[in-house]
Amino acid sequence: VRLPDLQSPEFVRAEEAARWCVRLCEGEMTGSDRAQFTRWLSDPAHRAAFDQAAEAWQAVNAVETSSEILALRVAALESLRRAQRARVGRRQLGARTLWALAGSVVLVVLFGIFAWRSPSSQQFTSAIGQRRTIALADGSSVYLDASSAVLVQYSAGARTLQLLRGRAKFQVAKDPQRPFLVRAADREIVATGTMFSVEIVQNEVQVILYQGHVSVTGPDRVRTALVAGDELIAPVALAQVHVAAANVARSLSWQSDRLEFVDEPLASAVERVNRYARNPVAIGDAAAASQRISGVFSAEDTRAFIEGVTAVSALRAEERNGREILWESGHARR
Amino acid sequence: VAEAEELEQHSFDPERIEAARRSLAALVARLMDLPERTREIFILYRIENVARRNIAQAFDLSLSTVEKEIARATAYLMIHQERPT
Repeated sequence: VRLPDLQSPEFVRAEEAARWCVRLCEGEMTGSDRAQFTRWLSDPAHRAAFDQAAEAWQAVNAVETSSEILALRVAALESLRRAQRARVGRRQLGARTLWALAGSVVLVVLFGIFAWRSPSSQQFTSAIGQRRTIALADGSSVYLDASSAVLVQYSAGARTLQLLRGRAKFQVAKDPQRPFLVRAADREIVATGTMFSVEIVQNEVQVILYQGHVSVTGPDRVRTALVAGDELIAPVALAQVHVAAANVARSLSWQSDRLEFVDEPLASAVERVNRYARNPVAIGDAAAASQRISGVFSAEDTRAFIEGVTAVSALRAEERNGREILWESGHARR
Repeated sequence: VAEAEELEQHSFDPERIEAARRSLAALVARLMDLPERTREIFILYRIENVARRNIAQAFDLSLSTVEKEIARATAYLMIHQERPT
């Protein structure tokens, strides 16, 4: 088979039609783009080419799970993964110092084989103090906080993720055919194209929605819909949920090495600090656990956190076997 | 037209299945005619729903080059599309 003449008017017109398909699919057209498209489409030859382009695309989608096409898909995904790896390598060489400074932010690329019958499943974990960005094959991303874990299962019909511990922010690529579902403890969060974060802390699931729409389903199957800027707090194993306005800037501080607390119980603040702490901080007594603290701390500097909270609240620190323990001030020294 | 509707209702007709198999084989053959990079970009974009920006970054191409590759692959499939007679 010979390739067609790439300069022929027919081929050029076909390419033009395909480019309009791309732009329409991506929904990035401005008012003047639309006007231009309408003008272009008013020519019957263009109209025919456009219909043909749409038909060609549908023909591909109609056979996307056939074994012949699956083989080509696997090859394409492998090639993309190789290219992304090479790219990360190039960047690391070019800016080694920067990367050293950035510490443990690692780019990981996931490619499963999105075969129809065998959904691939892959677990990503981050170590203490390490944050990871995971690029998923559909264009979605997962930003994993330190000491966190997420399980990713993609199939042709669904994108299912499970937050096993810690916190993750999800940037979801739009795909109406494949809902994006995140499970955390006994809650299910369903999104189409959006950005939101999910955290498990102190036996609570916390969901913050930055863009778009998500709905959260509880153990009683009751659904709560969120709008952008909402924060949902759901105690595990209880049906109740609490929805309030989120402090969006503060909630994103963990991505820039900061931990911000405003009137936060010590227990959940310490749990977050310990995601970064080589030597985890312990809480000595219940009275200390319920103390409320406020402040902005560097995620990397546990020492500064201990000094900060003991300086301004009714807490004192005690070192035992190389571990810092926070007690309520009134608690008798043993 | 009446005949076409008739066929539509008998989707398990062996002739129809055979026709579908032939058009799948033809489509795969046309995809194989394409240069490897063009074919990969087209599949990533069209089937795997990888964003154009992500494809461009990975392969170190501009957004418009990726668009050009997608358009080229689509045009090739269009021109060699089987015409119903």
